[in-house]
Amino acid sequence: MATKEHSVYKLVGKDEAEGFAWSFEGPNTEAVLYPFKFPVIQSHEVRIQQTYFGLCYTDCHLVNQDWFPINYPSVPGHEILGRVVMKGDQVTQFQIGDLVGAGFIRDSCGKCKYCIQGNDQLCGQMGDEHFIPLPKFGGFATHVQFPAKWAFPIPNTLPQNLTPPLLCAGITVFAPLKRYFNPKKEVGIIGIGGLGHLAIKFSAALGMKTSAISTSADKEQEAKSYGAIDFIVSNDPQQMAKASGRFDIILNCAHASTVDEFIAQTNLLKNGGDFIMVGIPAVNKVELQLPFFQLVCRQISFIGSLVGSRQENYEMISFANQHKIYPTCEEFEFHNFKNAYDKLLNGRPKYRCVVKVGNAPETLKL
Amino acid sequence: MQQLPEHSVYQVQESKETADAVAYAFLQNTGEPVQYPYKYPNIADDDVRIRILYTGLCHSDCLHSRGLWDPTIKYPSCPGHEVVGLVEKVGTGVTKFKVGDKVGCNPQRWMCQTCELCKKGDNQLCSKGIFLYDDNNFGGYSTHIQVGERMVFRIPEGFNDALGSPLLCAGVTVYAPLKRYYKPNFTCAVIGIGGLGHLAVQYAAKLGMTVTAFTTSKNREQEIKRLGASFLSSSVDVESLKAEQGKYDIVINTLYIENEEIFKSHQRLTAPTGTYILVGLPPSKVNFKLDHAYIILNQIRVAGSLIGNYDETQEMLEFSAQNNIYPIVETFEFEDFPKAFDKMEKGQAKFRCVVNVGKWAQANGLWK
Repeated sequence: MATKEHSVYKLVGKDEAEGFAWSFEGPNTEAVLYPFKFPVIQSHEVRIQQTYFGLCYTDCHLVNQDWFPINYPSVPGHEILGRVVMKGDQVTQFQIGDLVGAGFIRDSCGKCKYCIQGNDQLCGQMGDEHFIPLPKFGGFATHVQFPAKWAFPIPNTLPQNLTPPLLCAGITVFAPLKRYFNPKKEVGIIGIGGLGHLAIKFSAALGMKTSAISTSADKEQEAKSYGAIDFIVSNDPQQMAKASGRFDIILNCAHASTVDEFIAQTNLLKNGGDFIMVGIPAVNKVELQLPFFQLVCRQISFIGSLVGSRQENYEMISFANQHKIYPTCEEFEFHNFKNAYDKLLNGRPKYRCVVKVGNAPETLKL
Repeated sequence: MQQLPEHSVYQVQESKETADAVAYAFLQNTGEPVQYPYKYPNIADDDVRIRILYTGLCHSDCLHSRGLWDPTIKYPSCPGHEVVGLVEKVGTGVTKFKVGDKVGCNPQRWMCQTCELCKKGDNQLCSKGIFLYDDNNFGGYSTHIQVGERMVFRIPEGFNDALGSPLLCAGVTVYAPLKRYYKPNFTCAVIGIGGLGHLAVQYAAKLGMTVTAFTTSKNREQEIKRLGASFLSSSVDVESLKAEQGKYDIVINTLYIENEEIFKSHQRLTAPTGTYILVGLPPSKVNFKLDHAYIILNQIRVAGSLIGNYDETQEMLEFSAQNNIYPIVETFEFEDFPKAFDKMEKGQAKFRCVVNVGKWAQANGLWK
């Protein structure tokens, strides 16, 4: 059970709890159960009782301070799905009982240059309120409370047990594919994991000729079942040489572990092409280096993408629903959260971990 | 006169009297270029032979002829890819130009026009593209140049020939990416106010952007502001670069930055959703480090750019003539080609060296 109390969420006994969270009290520790009371709901917020939530490796990076120091206790999690059980009095777009989802972004100002342009995920005005997983409690809980603005209506036709990863992994790959989309383009997806397997599905459904690039030769059938027209084994130099200069777009869903590997990945890009980077590794792990010559004389671009705007989220949800694009998930019960987290951190889940909240807290042995 | 070596394409001549042209050629990777009179092979059906009026000198000429990029380069080597001249002779199949037309040549000699990149319009990336001195052809350090008509540009009315030759490389190198990625309300950072940078400032300002020049030369403030910069800032002081973080929608880097920390600070000048353009090339095949965390969190594009395509080059010539955008040049006589090259090689040119070729060529009977 939790011993460290958060400044915003009162640590209480299970009988008075409004929600139960899985809390980390330090880096590289096991999560502990944290029964809590919410602060008073604000007029623009909704409170969600989750049905399922997803786990993303970014949550591990945050908890373990791979990028920057954080405060504890920390309840991350940013693949949220559930029903509205309470709403602030200014919230008109949702009713009690509506099924909604949320991702990495908690709030945006709506007034700055980036919000107005439609890039509200890049709003720089919200300070601590910008991201869902911290410093306030995020999605590793039975209940979450955040601005209604960043809650997305979820259609009933999406299978709930497979929906949460769409709200981070899904949008992360969908947004740049759509942003740089062109029906004539050839797309290469590097890495068939949590991000990559969804990227293949979205890219193929968008109508682009999509190939999968992977170290695992045994994933070929699977990649093709997602819509890949071709499969390239990245540690086979012959196959890589044959694919040299083939792709207009490369969406990198698996960071290179050496400079040579990175350069080999960039060789697959056509001259004038775009190499899209998502997912940030631990800061000091790998240096992405390239000869200047290559960048200039081949006129290639490296482009970053960060989840997506609200607009892009609505499109992604609608598109996934239309084309029945769902992630492959491993499911865990709420009281076995530690197993889900451990599988993500140390194992290789196929491909995303999802927790069924079900009728927790009844299932919790307290 | 020393015995000149033979060349695989051009017939060396004993003197200019029998020559079609006189080049300044390098006979080895060290030393000065020397006069090299030569005859052309027959003019191909689609070739245009040009009497050069002015040639601009570009730093990549050194990287080429000193064997710094390709140590297996063949000599004699005649670089030069910033040419303004007059058509002297045309092949039987030439339709775009006639004798007497004012024309220009840029670094590309030929494009196939059938590969995917040519069809898309990016002939500078042509899979079979040939650059001006590839296959040991002679470039612009000469009284004449002979190039296929498809890679010859029309010089617009009112163009300042004496100043304009560097635009064929330096001009398009900055104009093309600025135009490709800009929006009129953008803030623009130009890093390095040298041959490329001083042109970038002019174009960016004329395109309507607010320009900050990042430079080490604080004493040139008035001059740089006259070119169109609104502000100046240090290109090397890490603290002041940090203060400028995330402020520029478009950043164009004309330099080769060795220092990792400074290069990272330059990438971080880019505003969210902005573009960081790299055009400067280093002397050898060195690596640079992408600041990937910043790039991803801010949705930045880091883009390389190589000269420009045919349309961008032609457009640049017209935009420059209309808006009076020219480099600041030092002009040399033809016989001072070695001096001009030396000044440029030592990085002392302010800002580009140009050789007045036509004057000597005409006076010495080379306009036959």
